[in-house]
Amino acid sequence: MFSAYLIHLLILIGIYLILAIAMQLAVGFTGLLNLGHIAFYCVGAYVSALLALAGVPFWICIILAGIGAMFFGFLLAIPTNKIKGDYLALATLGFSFVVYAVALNWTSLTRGPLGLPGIPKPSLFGFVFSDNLSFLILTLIIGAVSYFIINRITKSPFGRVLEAIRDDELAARVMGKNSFRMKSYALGISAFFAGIAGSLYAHYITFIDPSSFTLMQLIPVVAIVIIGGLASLKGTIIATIVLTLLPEPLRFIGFPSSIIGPARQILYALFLLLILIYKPRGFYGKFDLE
Amino acid sequence: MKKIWIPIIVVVIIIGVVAVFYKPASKGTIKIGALFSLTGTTSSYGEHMKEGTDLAKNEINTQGGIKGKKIEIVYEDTQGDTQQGISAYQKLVNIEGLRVLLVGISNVVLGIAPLAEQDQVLVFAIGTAAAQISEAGDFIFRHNLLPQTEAKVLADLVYNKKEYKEIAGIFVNTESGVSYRDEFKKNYEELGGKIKLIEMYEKGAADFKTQLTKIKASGVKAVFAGSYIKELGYILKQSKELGLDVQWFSGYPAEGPEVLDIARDSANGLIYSHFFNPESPSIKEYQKKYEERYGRSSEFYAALAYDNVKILVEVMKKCSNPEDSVCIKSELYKIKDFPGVTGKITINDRGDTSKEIFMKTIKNGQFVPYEE
Repeated sequence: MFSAYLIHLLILIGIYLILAIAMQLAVGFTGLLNLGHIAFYCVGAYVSALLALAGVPFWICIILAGIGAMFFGFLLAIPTNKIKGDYLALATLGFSFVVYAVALNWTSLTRGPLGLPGIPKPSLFGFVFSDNLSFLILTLIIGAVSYFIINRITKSPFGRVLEAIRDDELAARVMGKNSFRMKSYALGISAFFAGIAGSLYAHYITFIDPSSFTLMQLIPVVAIVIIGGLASLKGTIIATIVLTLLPEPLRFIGFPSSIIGPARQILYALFLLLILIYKPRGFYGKFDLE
Repeated sequence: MKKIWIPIIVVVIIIGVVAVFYKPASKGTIKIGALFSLTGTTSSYGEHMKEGTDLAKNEINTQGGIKGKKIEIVYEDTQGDTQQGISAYQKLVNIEGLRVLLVGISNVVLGIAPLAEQDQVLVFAIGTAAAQISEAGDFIFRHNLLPQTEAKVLADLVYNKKEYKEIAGIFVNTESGVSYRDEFKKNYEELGGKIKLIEMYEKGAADFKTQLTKIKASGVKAVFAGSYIKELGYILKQSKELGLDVQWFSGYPAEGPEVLDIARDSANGLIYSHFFNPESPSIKEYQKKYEERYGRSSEFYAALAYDNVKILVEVMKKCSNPEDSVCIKSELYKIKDFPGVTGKITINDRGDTSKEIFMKTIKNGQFVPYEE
């Protein structure tokens, strides 16, 4: 039954991949250190779960999850337009906490800390993705499409403008580019894919509560983006696979039960430190974050 | 090629570490999985559950195990996170082939419940207040004194016996606090009481002055706290500091050593419901064993976990194959008045336990039975 375990891990890799390449678009390609990414993931998961529980078909749920998250992406772009770097990171982090607090306290809609159980498995054209293998195929298809779209965006003229804004926003504006509009598009698209990932998460786990969308869940995604290397989609894929699988072999180490939890976390942290010491730009990083 | 050596080295290191430390599962033991949150914000619960589980395991093994076979507990860390919990579940069930799991946290139970139903894996939850767990499935059991039961008894005590017709409440914003709030409100208002004020706080808070000042301003004479152990300690301490002179009521989380450590004298007078029977010799014996091993007295999660293991072993002895989850499931539904250290335990048809309930209070820094 090793396959069931592996399929589960591959699904997680697929979901994290979508989440991480979406974040890469904002952080790596546009230079917006957006720590509000987990909030988009949360919005996507809740939109999709609530619609699905109301009986809306899956394909509408997942698209509306993306659109709902995208709406918040545009919304976040407005107040954060003029802030940069660390300040932007702090402001967007605040946004994460706001969304978390809303999910926790708007109990009439989200059931607050009780969470939403029994989210149905997705079904398309009468086919229900009830077992994990079919869900894996669905995730991989959506992941591949997301990768393809984001890859095209980064190679398009629009993508080059984003990179110009990242490298020198003033110069880009002197050249006549509307940097605010470009940045808000980047955030919006990034949020859209995070919402899609959130929808997949909700339908895979079938139970969501606000504790699944805290800072603790953001850290692995930021780690993937940084370790994969900023502005590198290839690096992001490798980092997603490495970082998602990294904790798993640690489960098989026969630590004495008294230290089992902390020992794994120490080893995991040690790996991350080693990578960052010897490869500060990550696997394929092209530049440093300011 | 320079750029790809890092991932390769990482993989090599992992394989190396696994090869050095990997312990093949020992044959001839009966294995029970334990999904506890051993790290993260809820790690203190997981640690306590682990202590209780270990204590029960050692006891059973020294008494000869199940039909001559020893039991073994395979621990997995969930970090209190649903997704981590599912990963750990997949590993325990699909790689190690376990059929019986002890699980510690509501969201993890709800996350793995659909999988466990499908795989016919028996889940025996420790604690956990979420109401949906009752409906989560046939193979999902839970051992806890539910807020529904406690709230009813407490509401009766507050309204009828202590004659407080008005009360304020302070609750933690988690599934446990919300259950206490809703159930207490329902029962208390049915009796004719009036809840003047409800204050919520976030898990892990340490400053309650805002909420307590509001409660003071409302002029109530009694307050119900649906709170975790540590926070309850802070609430009692700070209410004393603010000069809030009220009668405090609480559910079973009150009987944790931390409440006394933090609140000290301010904890005196708190009335709460609990499942530890103060008269029973079995709990005293258990506390003695626990203190011998861990050097301090046991709180309730450890005791619940201890009983969980004992019940499972009792049931496994009745099955011809002790790891047959279907047999264990049907035997578990037959458990009636099981003499555990946490009182007599009966499992109902929804997989929930009903337990005896006792009113207790804190007097001179001791948990003692409450007498009217």
